[in-house]
Amino acid sequence: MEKNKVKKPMLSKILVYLGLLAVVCVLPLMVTRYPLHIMTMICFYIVLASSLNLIIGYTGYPSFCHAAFYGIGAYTSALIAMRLGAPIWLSLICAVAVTALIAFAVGLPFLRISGVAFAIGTLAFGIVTVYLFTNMPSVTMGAAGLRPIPVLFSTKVPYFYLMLTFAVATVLIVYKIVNTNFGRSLIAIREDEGLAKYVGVNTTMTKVKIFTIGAMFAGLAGGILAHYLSWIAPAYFTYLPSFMAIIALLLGGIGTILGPVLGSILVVGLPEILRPVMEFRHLVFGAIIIIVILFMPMGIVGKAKQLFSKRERISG
Amino acid sequence: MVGTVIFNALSIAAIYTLVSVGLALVFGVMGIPNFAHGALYTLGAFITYALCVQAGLGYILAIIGAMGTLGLIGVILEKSLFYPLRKKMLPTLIITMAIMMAVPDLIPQVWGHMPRIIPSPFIQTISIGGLVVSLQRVVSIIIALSVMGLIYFFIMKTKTGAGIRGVAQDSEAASLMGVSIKKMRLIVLAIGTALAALAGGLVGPLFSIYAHMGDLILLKAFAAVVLGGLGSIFGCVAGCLVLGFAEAFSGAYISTLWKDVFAFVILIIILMVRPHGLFGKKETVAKLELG
Repeated sequence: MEKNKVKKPMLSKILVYLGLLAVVCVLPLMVTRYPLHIMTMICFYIVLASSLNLIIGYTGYPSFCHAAFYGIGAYTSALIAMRLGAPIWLSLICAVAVTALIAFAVGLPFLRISGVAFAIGTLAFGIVTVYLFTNMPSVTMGAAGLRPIPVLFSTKVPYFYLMLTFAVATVLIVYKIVNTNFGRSLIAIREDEGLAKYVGVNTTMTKVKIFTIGAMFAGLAGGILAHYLSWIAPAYFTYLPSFMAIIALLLGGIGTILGPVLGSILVVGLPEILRPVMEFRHLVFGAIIIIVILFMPMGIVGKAKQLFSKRERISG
Repeated sequence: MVGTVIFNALSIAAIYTLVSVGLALVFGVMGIPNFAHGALYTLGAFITYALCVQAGLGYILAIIGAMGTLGLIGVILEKSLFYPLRKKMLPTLIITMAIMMAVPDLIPQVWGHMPRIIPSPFIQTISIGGLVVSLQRVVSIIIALSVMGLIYFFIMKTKTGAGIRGVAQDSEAASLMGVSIKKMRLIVLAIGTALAALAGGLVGPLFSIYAHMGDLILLKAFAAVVLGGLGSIFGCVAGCLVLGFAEAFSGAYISTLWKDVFAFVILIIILMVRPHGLFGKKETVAKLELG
């Protein structure tokens, strides 16, 4: 498998992406309020899954607390805007800063652990965070949640464009990061951490850095979510959205740039398509996940790459 | 008061042990945290209910039946999903997460939305040395102790147990020694899921059973397994005891609001101090491979 080759994206490829993006840009003009909300949520998940991809897909550390950072960002921004009356752009900056600080503090001790212990440890951190949101009603209003949070725009359409821009920016930044020396050292850690250290990668700092960067994306997404929904509750940030982000990553194709995008569309879109079977939509959703993974263990993009490289080998 | 709290701690630890020992065994041979385990526990409780109330078998027969059924489900899952994906850890992980999400939707289709109680012949209270306790909890503790004894004997003293330990340590070397990895995995999956069903059946008369009953106990069982040290059965029991006592005492003396969070706080603290858990060896901190 090729991993470290820097590929210049072809002009035709870029044109295809730009064309798709243009289609997505005009979509809000044609749909009603609810589909627009789903499309906005897909953009949120693209940010979550793409940033998580940096930690799980490229560095190989299965973090199960991404939704906690999403929640920390949301609560920070909401509380600062509500209690201190700060302008929203300032509260969003604070949300990113607070999330980064907490991620740094959590990452420093946690990233010494790897594999399953890291997965369960981060899962525990996520659960504790939600308990703090729930059990401190004097600050967070408990399970009922915070409302009304000041909004950025009076209508929902600008939010979609904001999140679309953020999602595209995230994907591009992830692409950029992966193709730098820093990104290659991440992949080196994933492939063989001992060897990476041996050839001079400061593994500890690299891991903590990427964990913090990933969390910052989630924190900003959470901050925007708070002002978009104008109401946040602890239930939005349990381990389930963390699971959903991981599932999106795996379904789409882990360690690929477009995988999280495809996966997010599936993970947010499928339950909506399954609305007619509301009663057991998780059952159908679960079955679909199992079937996809069984036939494409490395996700849709992973499978496509595999097929493509096979064809290349045969023809070449 | 203290006596009752200690007794409660032991009975909580007994249920956690039955759930987490299955989890630890499955982790040993599969190398992944099995998120489906909580769903199998829920399914075990509901099948016990179905056999006990709807089919009219006795409580004990119903539990045995549920253990058999779940053991079979474990075998089917292994044959159809886990074994074909055995080299791919993260995809297997996602499949177990999908099962975890799917089963709570299945339960209301069959048994409705109402929480249920499994009727048990051991529901009365008894007095041991002035301490009034529920017989069901005493039975749970005794069963957990005897099951742990059997598991210990099976893993440590029998030839199959040696094979399972071999696969958990180094599956390639074990297979070179003539151990059938396929067979060991099947045995462990069957035992693990059957134990989850046993725990579900024992909890049924104490608390009501409902579709999402497996979620929290799964997370706590994970905490116990990692707390004790991955790959150590003894550590797993110790982890469950720590959680049982922390929960019972914090619930009695601090606040029931925070009692469920202590498992995770303790886990985080232990991981900071001893990354490989209380009784785990350094090298058993397994890596989750991508492909």
